[in-house]
Formats: sequence, structure tokens, C-alpha cells
Amino acid sequence: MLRVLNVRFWLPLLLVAGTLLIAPLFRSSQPPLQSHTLALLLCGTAALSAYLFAVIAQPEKF
Amino acid sequence: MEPDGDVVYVIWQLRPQRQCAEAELVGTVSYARMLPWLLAAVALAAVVLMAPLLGRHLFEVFDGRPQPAWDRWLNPIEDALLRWIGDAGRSAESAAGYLAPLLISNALFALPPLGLLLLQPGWLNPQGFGGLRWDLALHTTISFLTNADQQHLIPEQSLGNLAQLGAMQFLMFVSAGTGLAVGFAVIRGLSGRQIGNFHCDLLRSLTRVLIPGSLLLALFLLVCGVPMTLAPPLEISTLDGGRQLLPRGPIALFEAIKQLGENGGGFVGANSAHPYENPTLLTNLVSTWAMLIIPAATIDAFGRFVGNRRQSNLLLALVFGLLLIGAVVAMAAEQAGNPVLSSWLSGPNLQGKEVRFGAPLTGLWSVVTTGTMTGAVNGMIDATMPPTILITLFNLFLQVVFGGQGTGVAYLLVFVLLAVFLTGLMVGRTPEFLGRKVEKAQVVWASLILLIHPVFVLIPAALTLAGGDTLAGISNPGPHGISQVVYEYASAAANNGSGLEGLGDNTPWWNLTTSLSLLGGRYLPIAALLALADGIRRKPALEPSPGTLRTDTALFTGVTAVVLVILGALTFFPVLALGPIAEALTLVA
Amino acid sequence: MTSSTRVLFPRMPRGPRHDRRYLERPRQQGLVQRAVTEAFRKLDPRLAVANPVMFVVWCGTVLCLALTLDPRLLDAQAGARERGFNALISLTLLATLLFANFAEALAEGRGKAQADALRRTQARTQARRQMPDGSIELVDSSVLRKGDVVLVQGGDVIPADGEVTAGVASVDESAITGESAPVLKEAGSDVAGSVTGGTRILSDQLTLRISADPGKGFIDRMIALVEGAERSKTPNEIALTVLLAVLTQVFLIAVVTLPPVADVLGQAPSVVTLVALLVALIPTTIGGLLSAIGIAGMDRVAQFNVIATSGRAVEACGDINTLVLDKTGTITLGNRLAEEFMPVGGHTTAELAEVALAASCFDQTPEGRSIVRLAEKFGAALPFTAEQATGIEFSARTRMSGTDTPDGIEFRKGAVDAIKGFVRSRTGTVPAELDACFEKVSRLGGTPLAVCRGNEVVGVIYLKDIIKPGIRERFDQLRRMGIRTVMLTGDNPITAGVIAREAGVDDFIAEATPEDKIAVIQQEQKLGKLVAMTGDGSNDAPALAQANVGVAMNSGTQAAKEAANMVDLDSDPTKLIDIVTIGKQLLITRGALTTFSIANDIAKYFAILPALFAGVGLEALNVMRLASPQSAILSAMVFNALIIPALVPLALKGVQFRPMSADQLLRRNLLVYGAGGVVAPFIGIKVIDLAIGALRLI
Repeated sequence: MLRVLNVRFWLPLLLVAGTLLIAPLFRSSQPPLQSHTLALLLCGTAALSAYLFAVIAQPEKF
Repeated sequence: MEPDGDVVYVIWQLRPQRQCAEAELVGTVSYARMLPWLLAAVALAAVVLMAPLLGRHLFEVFDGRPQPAWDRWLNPIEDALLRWIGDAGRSAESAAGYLAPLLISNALFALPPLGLLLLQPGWLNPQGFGGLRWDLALHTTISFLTNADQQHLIPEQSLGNLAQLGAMQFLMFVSAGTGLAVGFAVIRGLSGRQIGNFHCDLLRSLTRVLIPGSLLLALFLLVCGVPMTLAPPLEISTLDGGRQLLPRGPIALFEAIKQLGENGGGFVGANSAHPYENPTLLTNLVSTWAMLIIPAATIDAFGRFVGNRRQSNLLLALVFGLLLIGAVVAMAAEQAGNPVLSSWLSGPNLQGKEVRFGAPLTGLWSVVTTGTMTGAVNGMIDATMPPTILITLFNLFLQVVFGGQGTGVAYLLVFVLLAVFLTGLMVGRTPEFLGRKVEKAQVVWASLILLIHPVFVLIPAALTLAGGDTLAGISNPGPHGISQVVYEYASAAANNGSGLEGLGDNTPWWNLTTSLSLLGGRYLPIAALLALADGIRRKPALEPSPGTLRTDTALFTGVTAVVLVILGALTFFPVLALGPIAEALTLVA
Repeated sequence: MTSSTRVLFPRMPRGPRHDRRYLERPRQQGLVQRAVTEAFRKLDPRLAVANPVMFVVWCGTVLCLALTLDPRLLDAQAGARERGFNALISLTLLATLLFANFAEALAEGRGKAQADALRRTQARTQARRQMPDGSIELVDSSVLRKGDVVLVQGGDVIPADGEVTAGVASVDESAITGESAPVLKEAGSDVAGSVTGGTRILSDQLTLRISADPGKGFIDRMIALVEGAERSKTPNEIALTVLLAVLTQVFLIAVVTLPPVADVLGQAPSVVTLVALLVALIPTTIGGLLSAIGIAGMDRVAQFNVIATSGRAVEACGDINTLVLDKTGTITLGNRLAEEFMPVGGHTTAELAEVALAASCFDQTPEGRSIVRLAEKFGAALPFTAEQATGIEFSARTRMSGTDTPDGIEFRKGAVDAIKGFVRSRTGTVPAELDACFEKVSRLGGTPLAVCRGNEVVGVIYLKDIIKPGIRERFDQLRRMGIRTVMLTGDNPITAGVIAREAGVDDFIAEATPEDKIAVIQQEQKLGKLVAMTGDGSNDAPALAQANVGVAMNSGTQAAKEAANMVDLDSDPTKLIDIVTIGKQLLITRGALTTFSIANDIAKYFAILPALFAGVGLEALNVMRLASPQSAILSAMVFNALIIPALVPLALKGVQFRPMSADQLLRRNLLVYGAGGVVAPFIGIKVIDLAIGALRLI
């Protein structure tokens, strides 16, 4: 149960899901590998941004 | 507020018979060149001189001081109104206690105008305009509710008098009142007072400041020739034999609250470039003055609240300095005109400028209107020179060169707080502002305010530009197109409302995304500001000692200015570089 | 306030106490080696995530490394020849990370070395535990619990913190104080009744009641502190972390949104250059050094032989407005000395000297002995044989002491009021000059002691208070820092006023009781001031707890030490001034590096932006005239990486703090770190660019 609440459980899932979701957007300009890595980069950036928000909200924990 | 399409140019053909200011400017060339600067100086000097007078009045109104006899008669009326809505008039215990009635009342204020715009009944609607498209109605309501007055429509071609009065003008009054209330709640918190009661503040800002002020200004405008009528449009024959409808309406009061409340939404699409809104050089100057006076007086009132006029005078000097720099750059740029064209023209390029008053005064107005978050225009900002666009964008990014109604001073104090935190550490003490420590909670709230702009300007602008030309609807390719898109979102997030028009912005995408920026740029900072002020209020006041960093010194004011410019510049330098800076450099090259 | 054994080792206030380190300075080479390995170990993402700014750099490094391996990972059109440039950027990013880790590891290493040395003193020992039935059993020191009673003998290591319940012994406390002279410990004494685990008893025997469970003792706390195991961020550090995270977030958004904007102009900056721009903009300098500054600050406190319970307390020291100090032992030397005899009522000086000698011959206090010395200088001799007389001890109730001779003459000396009362009770009269003498001595800042023989007042002894040399300068420094000093003394108001003026304190409370101490603190706090105080007695504990910063003397009682935020191992009350300086230094260093870091961004923008968008006519912004776009970006990154190790010494030592007003400090630091931060990178990046050109790296 605790595992489900853990960010380490969710993060890879969200990254993969986000990548698959956004990848078609780049399909027009890039071949499949590149469109997926670009999507992954974008999702990773979003995750990094979320992490920074977490730091701002609870700086004591870091 | 700027017109879509060619309305501006049509209006030039309609110069009123009233004596045109330019006609009186016959004189030596140098005299003509000097005059706009002189007039600008007069308008700005009037702000400086009158800010303390109004500041005292604001202090008396919002600190619950004894009122002068002439408005004491309002007390029973206000009390009765408060009782009627079931508010005992007690101060809120927390930031949430102030925020909740604010959000609820604002939501309630928005509903009737939204319905009115969607339906537009035939009453007081001589031209029989129908309801607006849902996204346009939503965007217009939100932009007026948030004190931005971004208009993706041409009002005189889509709104009847009922919508103008019942929706637009009503929202102009309450949004300005909401802003003032928040501003003074923040000031109260920072000065260690109870945070106040929102209903009471809103009511008082309307009854004691905005309504009487607007009535006085409207009376003045009326005398100067601004129409105030419910009559249908005038049908006239033009010189070349065509027929034209000349829209008119209850403009004087509309215009007054538009300027005084820093709303900026025009009764007509051409806004203050239209002779009905801004007929003479005198109204032009008074309108410039009206945009500045309440924010300047709010800063002055802040000094009275904290019992340190020196502090408020220095802050006033700070923003005034920034305004002056901007005004000088913009006026000089407009006076010089386009270097590419200057070999052909014997003066500045005039396209999009308010030619009756001269191009430099368009520059001044553009700087003031973006600095104060009014957003009214007396020319096309789109047609101004890149340095002017740079200044206007920078004003929108900073939001403190007087800033929005009430919120401007709050933003300014947030930047002071950040400057205190950054530099205060360097004197070896936990930073203090006005005797209260600046700690984690304050930095969190202040930082969130810093974040709101990038989130609501850069992200949608990037998405729009990534979406290609169809999404963006840019009229000019290259750096200027970037400026147009970034400006539109900056104007929305800063609740300014002006635009680098030419942008095809009446589309669902633009209407909805700018609505999001408008709401995000309005209510999130308000919540953060209230939380910040409430947190500071609860801290014990510390006595100043020689080891305490004094904030009421010229040195610290200079530091604040640098922090302000650097924090603002660092965030937006890349887009500024790709937009106006690239454009300016290309022009020069 | 009593002046008994308050200060076991009175020290003169001095300048920097480099000579006071209680532990040998850890060897630099071992430290550096350890820090280098630590720097690599800290690349572990689970550790890196603790520092938001550097974690962003970490992510950027991983991305750049991936793009070095395959430059076409994100863009199929990218050329393979970009690999070299990507590799160079990746290397500089990695160096940035390692430098930041190294700084932190170096700061931690110092503390760890000290902790190791302390731990050695904690070697397990056998303890003789006394069972409730009186029998003795040998147990391991680790099983001792609070409340156990143990016996220790000469040569033993004291097994745990405890209170002396019986016996007198000398104890070597050099393990914690670095002071080699043994300390006398005895039961029932306020200040000498507690012992610390790990110290060594030199002679005799003590019975102790253990006062701390294993792992909770004084040395354990010290180890935890210097090691940084329990290091929690201080309030200002947390606030700064938030600000840095926000700036990072802002720049992240500003950089990520750039490609679509640039695309309008037909520009497509590569991902590696965008990462470079992001890393250049986010405040890596302060982000990389922030934790090192905090750790080094605690370390500096420890080097002053002060144990702070938390970094919070050290930081609070920088905020102190008011300092409450005892007069005796802090402002003046503990011992007052007899300076002059002032006879009254027609008596001669010689007569007074004889009476004073008679009244003091049993008085073993330093004051008493100084009276004897002064009287002997006047050639006085005892008018009776000492063996037959009885000494009358000083008591707080009578406020006098003296001698009763066998033939019934009572010699007394004491506070002027007390002697007056004594004489009147013996139907004597008080000569009018007594009050004049009292006032005269008080005005000189001395303590007047009246002397009487039976019912006859003979004169007044002028006891001179000696103000510690150099104390005035220290108070001047404090005043310039904006700290007000309040002196507490049991003296009469006139004396107190004179001492206060001479020592340069701002305020004083005369005839103060221990209760006054807490009242003064509360009163100051009510005015919104932060108060620091020093104390040692049990009755100081409430005041130490009430004060925002309480510094207990190591010679003090356990109760005082528990209530305080800090314990001064040297028992030198003026050391608070040094701690205040360290607290301020901590804040200044953080502020200065933050300012420097943000100011650096201006130059980096001018280096990177024109390079990033070479085709849109931004060449005019290349004010540094950097050779090529790639060299410009690389120069900015190299500068960004190198500035961290360049500032490590500053971060570890702290920005120099000079006591001056806030405005002066601000002006000075702004000039150095603000203006310097704007200018330095322009020069640095240009130089690196020239070097890159010369080396033909690109």
C-alpha cells in the first residue's frame, strides 16, 4: 500500500505514460525514436518542475 | 482595448471641429519639439503634488479614521448595506477569511455581465446587437472582472448601451474596488494591523474613492466635450458621399472610471485615440494624470499606515524614477521615429500615433498605461518603435511602475521584501522589513508571486508559437510577431489589457488561454499577497537597532531598484532579446 | 551574585582564539583525499536530490552525457560532429557537480575528523556500579542508566555524565576543554558538582549519580553536532533554499519555453546549449556552497570551544539585540582587591589597618586576603593570637564577616548598611563621615566595606573592582553591531553606575537578585528584542531557558547546561561576542554568495544569448567579443564551474565581518559581492574564451 503512495512508484509510470501521450505531437518533424525521446525530455522537464515546486512548498524535507 | 482592424485610421478622418491642439502649436520647430516634454512634465508634476492629498484621504478611509464632514453622511448607508448582506463588519481573522468573500463576491459580480453579454436583450440596444460567442463573452467578462479589460472585440460594433453600462462599467467599478481593497489589506498586514473586512473595504473604496472620483472626472470630461448620452448612433454623410454611423453613448463616466480605476477598456475600439474618449490635449493630460494618481496616492498612504513617510516617499521616488526612465526612452524613440524612414520623412513616422497630440505623447501614454496596468491607449502600441515596445513589455513584466489598482503597491512591497531578504542577509541579521522578520513563509509567498508571471506568460506564449501561424494569428513575422504574442499574454497576466494588435486574437484559443492568464495573474497573486501580509501581521514587531538594515534610505531604495530590474530582466531577457531587442538591432543595422 | 568559584580559569578576552582548539587540527591532506572520494559518492541521485539547484545540474549532466553518446538522440538532423562540443559541455557540468560536492564533503570532513577524535575518548570503560544493597559490581559503561550510582577512583575514566554525590577529587577535563589544569570536583557544590563522561579522575574517589542514558551524554551530543549528523537546516537557510528553488524554477521555465519562440525566427538552439544556458543562469554558485557554509559555520563555533545545540542557535546569535551579562567574572575580574583604607571618626589609618586585619584574618576569599596584604603593607599586626579567636563567616543574611576575640571584642567588616545596623544594635553611634566615605568609594566604582570594632565604626575599606582589560573595546564592537549590553550586579547603584560607565555597557541593574535576571529578559523580549545571556548557577537555568540565546559555562551546573542553547567549554562569558560574530558571518556569507551568484547572470546572458541565436541580429549583444558561439557557451560554463572551487575558501572561512553599522556593511558587501559579481564574470569569461582559443579546443 505504501509503495503505491511512493513517488518512486509513480514517477516512471507517469514518465512513460506522458511520453507515449506526447510523442505523436513530434511525429511530423522527427522519426519515431527522436519523437519519443523528445517527449520523454519534455515529461522529464515537467517532473523536474514538479520537484522544484515540492521543494518550494516543503523546503525542510530537502 | 486596441481596435482590431482599421478603426484607428477611420477615426482620423473624423477629427472633430473642436479646436485641435496641433493648430495651436504653430511656432518654431524647437518649440514644437519641446512642447510634449513640457506637457509630460506638467502631468507628472501634478501627480507628485496631488499624491499626498489623496494619500491622506485613502489613509483616513481605509484606516477607519474620522472622516471629514463631507462624506460622513455615507456612514449609515454603508452600515445598512453591510447589515443587509449579513456582514458584521469585523476584520477577517486570517488571509482565507479575507480571500473567501473576495472570491465569492467576484464570482457573483461576473455572472450577470456574462449573461448579459451572451444574451444582449434589445433594451437600450439601439443597433440591436446580438449575443456574443461564448468564448468571447467569457473572455470579455473575465478580462473586465480582473481589471485588465483586454478586448478581443470592437465594442461599438458589438455591444449595446445596456451591456456597456450593466456589464462593462459595472465590472470596471467593482474590479478597481477589489484591487484597492486587496492593496490596503496588504498594507494593513505589513503595518501590523488587522487585515480588515473585504466587504467593508470594497464598499468604502467604491463610495469614498472611485464613485466620487469618477463623477468629478466625468464632469470635467463632459465639460471638455466627451459625450454622455443614451441616444442612438448618429448617422452622417461623409465628404465623399458615403454614409457612416457615428457611435456615441454614456462615455464620460465610462471614460472616468476607465482611467481612474486603471481599467483601460474603451467604450469604442479606438480607445483614447478616439476623439469622443479623449477630445483635447487637456483631456489627454488629465487622463494620463488619472491613471497615475490613485496608485501614487496608495504608496503615499502606505507611508502613513506604517508611520514612515520617508519610506513611502523613497518608494514613490523609486517607481517614479523607473517611470521617468521609461517615459524618456519612449518619448525620445517616438520623436526620433524609424531610422529606416527618417531619410524620407521630416519627422517621426506617424502611423498608429495620436497625431493630434504628437508622437512623443503617444510614447508617454504607452509607458504610463502599461506601467499602471491601465491598458488604455491613445495610439497603437504595435506601431511604436522597438524601444517603446521594450519599455512597455518591461513594465508589464515588472508590474510595479505604479502597477495595478491597489495590487501595484502590493507587488512593489513584495519586491522590497525580496530585496530585504537578498541584501538583508549581507548585514548579518535575519532580514527584517518594517520591524518584522522575513522568514520562510514570507519568502515562499513572495517567490510564488515571482513565479506566476513566467508560468502564465512564457508557457502559453511558447505553446501558441509552437502551434504555428494558425494558432498565433500573428500579423508580422519575425521578432515583432514574437513581441505580439508575448505581449498579449503578459498584458493578460499583468491584468493590463493593452495589446500589440494586429494579432488575430478573437479565436477560441486566444480567448480561452488569455482568460486563464487573466485569472491566474489576478487571483493567485491576490491569495499569495494576502497570505504574505497576514503572516507578517502575526509576527512580533522588533525594535530597530543600529544593526538593523534600514529600508528608508536612499541606498536601500537603489538596491531595491536594482533587484527589481535584475529579477524582472533575468526572467524575461531571452524573450525580450528575441522580440523587441532583435527588432531594434535589426532596424539600426 | 556571588563571586565564589564562578570562573575556574579566568581568561582574558583576546582576539582570535586559534590557540584554543581543543583537538589537533585535522590533517589537511587526509581531509582532501576523503573529500574527493565523497564528492564522487555524492553523485548518487538519492543524495543529489537533497539540493534542488544542483539536482537540476545533475539532470542536465545526464542529458548532456546521453547526447554525447548519441548526438542524434533528440534531433535526427544533428550532425555527429557536435559530439565533441557536447562532450566538453558534459565535462564542465560534471566538474560543476563534483566541485559542489567537494565543498560540502570538505566542510563535513572537518567535523567528522573532530568527531572521530572525540569518539576515541569514549572508549568503553568498566564502571563500578553500586547496587541498592550497597554491593559493588563491575559493569560495562554502556549499560549505565540514568539514576545509577557509580564509584570512580583516581586514574579511572568517568563512565558517563553525572552529579557528584560524595567525595572530593581533581578531574582532568582536557578531553573536552583542552585545558590541562585539573578541576576540583566536590559534592554539594553548585558549580563543581557535575562531571562529564570521558574525562579522567586524577586522584581520590567520587561517588556519582549518573545523569544521562548512554548515547545521550554530553560528548555524544558534541559528536552528533560536530559531525553534522543531526544537522537540520536553519530558518534562514530554509528561506534561502526556497528562493533558490524559485529562481531555478523561473529559469527552467524561461529556458524550456525558448525553443518554440526561437523557432519563429528560424532558429533551433540545440538541447545541449539550452542545458548550458539553464545551468549558467540558475544560482549554482550559492546552491553548490550553501550547505558547506552552514557546516563550516558550526565547525567554526566548535573551534571556539563552544558547543551549540543547533545551527539555529548560532544563527539566532547574529540577531541578538540585547546581551545580559553578570558583572563579576565577565566585565570585571572575579576578585576585588583592597585598594585603600579610609578611617572615620578620628581614627588613624594605622588603627584602621589593624582593625581590618583583625576582621579579615579568617577570611580566605580573595578579597579577604587582599585586605590582609594591604594591612600588612601598613605594618599592622594582629592585636590577639589567632588560635584563640573565632572567625565569623560571611552570610547572605548578615552581609558581614569578622572575628570574635577571646576577650569579647567583635571585629566586623561588611556592607556599610549592615555594619551601621550592627553598631546601632551595640548602642554605638555612626559617624557622619561614613556616608561620605561610602559615596566617595562608590563614585570611584569600588565597593565600600565598613569596618568596626565592637560598637565603634573605624573606617571604610575601598575594594577596587578591576575591569577586564579590553572589555571596553568589545562592548564598543557590540554597540557598532547594534547590540545593547545590560550589566547585572549586586553592587549598589552608584558603584554599578561607575563600573558601567568605565566598562562601556549601555545599561545596568544594580542590587540585582537572580529573579531580576529573568525579569530583565522578559522585559526586553516584550519590546521585541532578542536577548542573549550567560550564566552558570542553578538559579540561572530559568533565565537561560527564557533567553533567546543562553550560553552556559562548562563550569556550571548540569541544570544550567541543559537549559542553555550553548555550552562554553572555556567558561569565558565574553566569548558570546565571538559567537555573535560567527552567526553574523554565516548570514553574510550566504547573502553575499547569493548576490554574487545572481549578479553573475548578467554577464552569462551577454555571453550565451548572442551565441545561442547567432542568426537574428543579436551580434551587438556580444559585448565581450567572444570568438565563436561554441567557445562563448563553453567559456560561460567553465567559468560557472571554476567559480565554485574559487569560492570554497570563502565559504568555509566565512566572509570577513567587521563590526559596523548595517548601512556601512551593506554598502561594503554590495560593492564587493554585488558589483564584483557583475564585473568578475565579464573578465573571467573573456579570459577563458581567449584560453580556449589559444588551446584550439573548439
